[in-house]
Amino acid sequence: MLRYTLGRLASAIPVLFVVSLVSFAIIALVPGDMASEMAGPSATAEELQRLRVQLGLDKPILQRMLEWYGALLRGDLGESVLLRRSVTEAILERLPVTLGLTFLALFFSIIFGVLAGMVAAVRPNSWTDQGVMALALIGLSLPDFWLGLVFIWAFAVQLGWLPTGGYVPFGENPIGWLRSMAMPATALALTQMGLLARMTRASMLDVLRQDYVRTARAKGLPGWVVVFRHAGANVLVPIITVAGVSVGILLGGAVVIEQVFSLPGVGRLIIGAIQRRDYPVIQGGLLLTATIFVLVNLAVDLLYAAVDPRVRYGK
Amino acid sequence: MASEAVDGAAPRRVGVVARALGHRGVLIGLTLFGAIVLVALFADWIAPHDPVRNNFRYRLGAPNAIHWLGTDRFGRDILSRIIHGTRVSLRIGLMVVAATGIIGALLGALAGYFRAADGPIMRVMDGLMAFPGILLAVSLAAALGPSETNAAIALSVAYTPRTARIARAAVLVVREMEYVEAARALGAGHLHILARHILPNSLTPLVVQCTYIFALSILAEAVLSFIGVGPPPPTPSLGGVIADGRDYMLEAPWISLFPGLMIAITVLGLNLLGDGLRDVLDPRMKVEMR
Amino acid sequence: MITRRTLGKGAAAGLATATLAAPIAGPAYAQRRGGEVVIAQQAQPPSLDAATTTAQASRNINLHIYETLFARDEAGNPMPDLAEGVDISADGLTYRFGLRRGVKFHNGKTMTSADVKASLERYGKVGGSAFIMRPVEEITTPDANTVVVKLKEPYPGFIAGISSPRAPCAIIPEEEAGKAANQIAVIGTGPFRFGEFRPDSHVKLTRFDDYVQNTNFARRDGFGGRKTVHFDAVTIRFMPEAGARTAGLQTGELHVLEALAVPAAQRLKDDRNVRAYEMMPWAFQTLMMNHAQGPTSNVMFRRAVQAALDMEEIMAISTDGLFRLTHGWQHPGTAYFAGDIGKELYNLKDQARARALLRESGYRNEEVTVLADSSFSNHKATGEVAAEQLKAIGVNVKLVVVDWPTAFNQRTRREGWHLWTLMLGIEPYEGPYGVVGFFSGHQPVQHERDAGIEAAQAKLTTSLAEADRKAAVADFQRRMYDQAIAVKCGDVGIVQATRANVANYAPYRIPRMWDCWFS
Repeated sequence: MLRYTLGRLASAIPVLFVVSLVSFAIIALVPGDMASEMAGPSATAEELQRLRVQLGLDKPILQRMLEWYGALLRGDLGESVLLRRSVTEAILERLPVTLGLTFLALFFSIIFGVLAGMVAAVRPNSWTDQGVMALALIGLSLPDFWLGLVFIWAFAVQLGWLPTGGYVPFGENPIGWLRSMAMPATALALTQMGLLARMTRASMLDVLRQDYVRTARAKGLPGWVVVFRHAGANVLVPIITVAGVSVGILLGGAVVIEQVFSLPGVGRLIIGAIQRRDYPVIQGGLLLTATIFVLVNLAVDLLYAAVDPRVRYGK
Repeated sequence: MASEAVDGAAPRRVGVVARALGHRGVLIGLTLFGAIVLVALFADWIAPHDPVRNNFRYRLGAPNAIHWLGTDRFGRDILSRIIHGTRVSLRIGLMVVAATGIIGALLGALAGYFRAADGPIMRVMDGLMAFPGILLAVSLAAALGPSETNAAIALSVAYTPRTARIARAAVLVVREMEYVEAARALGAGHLHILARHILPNSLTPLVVQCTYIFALSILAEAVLSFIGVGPPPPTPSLGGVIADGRDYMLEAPWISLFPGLMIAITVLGLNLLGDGLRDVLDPRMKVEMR
Repeated sequence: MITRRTLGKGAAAGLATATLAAPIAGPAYAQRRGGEVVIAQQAQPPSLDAATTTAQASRNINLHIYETLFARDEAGNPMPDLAEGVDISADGLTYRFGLRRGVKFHNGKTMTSADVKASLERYGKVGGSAFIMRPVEEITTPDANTVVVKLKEPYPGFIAGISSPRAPCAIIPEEEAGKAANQIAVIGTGPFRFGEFRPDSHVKLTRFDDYVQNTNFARRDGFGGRKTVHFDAVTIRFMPEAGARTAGLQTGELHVLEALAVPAAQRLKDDRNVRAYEMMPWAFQTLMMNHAQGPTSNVMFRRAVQAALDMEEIMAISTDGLFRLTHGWQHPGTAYFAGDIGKELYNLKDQARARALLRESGYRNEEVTVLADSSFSNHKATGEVAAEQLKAIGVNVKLVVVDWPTAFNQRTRREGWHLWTLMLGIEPYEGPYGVVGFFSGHQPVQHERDAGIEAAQAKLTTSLAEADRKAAVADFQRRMYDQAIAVKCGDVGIVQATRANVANYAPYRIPRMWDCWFS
């Protein structure tokens, strides 16, 4: 197990190297630089050029690349002049927002998705089943950021139930955190809810066809008891698989949702850095996001092994 | 949604097309998506107004008898913009499907067939898959500059690893099949084997995947436009119309509301179609890739 | 040498006696004191180093933290702030500033002439409007409370320059002034001190309790005057979505909006919890033209553009209806407003004339690039509408909408664009120097120097007589229209807004959080 984990971690290094090359390609391609953000809209060409020299933006990209890799080996992701802090600090202070949003959305989608899938599977092809599955399909066809806009309009403005945006740290006020996260997490979760509902239903149907479940049913046990006692555990494996994939998709979706709800997360950091041409943050942000992605995938695979005794890694 | 439809195991001999058309999901999906395609094709005839015609005296107008879905900040007719917008969105979707399908299949086939190519190709694919796809697409679209083609390029780069992986997996299976062995034994060249035996037999999962990629591209185009790196004005894309309305969500919600529904209908159609095709073509395929 | 012009001192002395009778720590003050006010603005500040940036998002924050030797009063005219006043020699070469005594920096240090000298010298290197320091020969400090600036040549725009909020010539401690752009610790003399900066979230400022008020004045006045702070803290939140900002004001999460969208302001007209303050004029909407590249290098073609445009349509759409159709390159009612010059060429919307001019110019369907950015929605809308109008007279228009850095980078080049949309806000407010400067000097926005504009600029920046300078601005405006150097579309208005319980608020170039309180 340990060996497998280490092996997976080692194989991530070339992947992350590719990631860093991609981020340099983006920087090399994108026109304009940070000076135009800093100087402001009505700055003259002369003012721009002066700032550019001062900020060291006139260095060639190859030189910047070598300097960046050099610093990276020392564990230094560089400084963001625009954000007045180191890139590491900038990312670490955003991470709780994005992870909180992602995992709350995952929590919602697992709870409601699995529940919906089970409800649908208990009586296959009934009206309930078809209704739930149609909803699931519609759920995964809606653009999540658009849903966010509609939520703001409905729940924040028309009904006044929830704040329109902004972030309250969990440590400061857990209720406030939940209120600020409720709409974004739901908008984000809906797609995955649909996916999990479909997955759960499919694997439930598989399990319910197995002999031991049929036996239990034949003994006259009510449907719900059968579902929970016998089928529940066996449905877990495919759900974890899908949930693992979901984490990745949710992290991606968070990028846009953070924009819509003014949440200071990693996605908004990176999009903002692209818009402002904050090179160190683009590089560091993409690298770190990719690292998290790799780690999440690893965690899912390990969890998979823990739940399913048939899966064994790294003999 | 539709796996029970094949539970009855349609007789094998019936043609794929007939089976597909007998499948409820495929039928509904095809109808929805077909309708959207028709709207896009005949946009010039269907749209009641010129989608780029400004009318500053009727800015942010609510839906009424003349403008069924209202107007935007330029006084442009939302319905006409949505109708023309499907055209741009479908065009981008089509470009992405073509690019990811062809390039992904080639890369996947190479990686699956030639062991030497496997490592490098798949490491690059892993690298591209190591970000959330949408983040990669947004970054690339920003770097390339906003245009329809660039949006399609950015999305293709983000989604090619999916098709490449699927093609590779399929090729790995087919490669060991008897008829490939036989062809090899008969002295057939690599190219011949790849083109004549392996690719055709790996097509099924690719076709299904491409349907999903089409749906994903339409959703992703909307995101690109929302972030401000989508196709430029005045040609409307569905995402572009949503983005036009974002500042007016409270005063003129119709601007963003209706194009979002149009996207949902298009994506729903494609998803139904994809699910149905998967059921019909290969009932064993289970895990959906989204 | 007998005539000396004195700015500030006389008026200041008169006011000082008047204000002695008005102590600040009265019972009313105690009652009003307290509370944390929350402002929302769209963008996050690119810099908290006031001198380096012209961005409004920074100005809103920085002018609560930093102060300048001279500031601008409510009408936009220079007034002394950290200086008691200035004596200008008759030859216009020597400026002698007396400093207010006992002014404290946020780090507890008392401001002296050494800090001022270091700040001015730094401004010449990193300042957003660094050109104002170009005529400076040397800066001396005869004593701790006097700063003398010697110029190489007369430069009547000097006080206008150092008092401008464009990229404020902020006075910072000497030890910070040695640092590069954006590397300083955020320390000023203003009524608020810097608390924290959370990117993409907020900046927090707290009341500076050792703030030394400018007792030369009785009340707040523009960026200067006597500032009294009642709030304990100010939080400036960065919220990119207009809808979220409006909704936040409606629900009371936010107390002040830097700008409320015009349709929202119309909708909230009858909301008793919200007060809207219209500011007209706030800015110019313009279309710049590139003279370095055909067909806009041809004056006939530019005149065709000038004749074709329908400003009402452009302005109504790009401002959501809050605009004024004015032709002037200075605001009406200000000192340098040039009257009706050029008015006959403004807003012609004459397609026949435009087509005739187009033929005359020998235009052969070359592609014309209209460059706009999506970061400022009025820029984008202006570009879209103008592009359609030019298409209507038969110009082969290519509309390019990119993000701000890309557009800006493109426009600094001599090729790749023909028309570019830009809103000029702070420059017209500053007076004539910034506006005229935009079209003259080494790198004019149109990329080719125009002799007429250069002459006007030289006259404006060196004439000691105000009448000559006014004539120079009139010449400038005449030339702008006659040669169709660039197009002024109209004046843009904005709406600032507060919750109804924010008392004594007065709208200005920034939402000022002094001299207002929660009722």
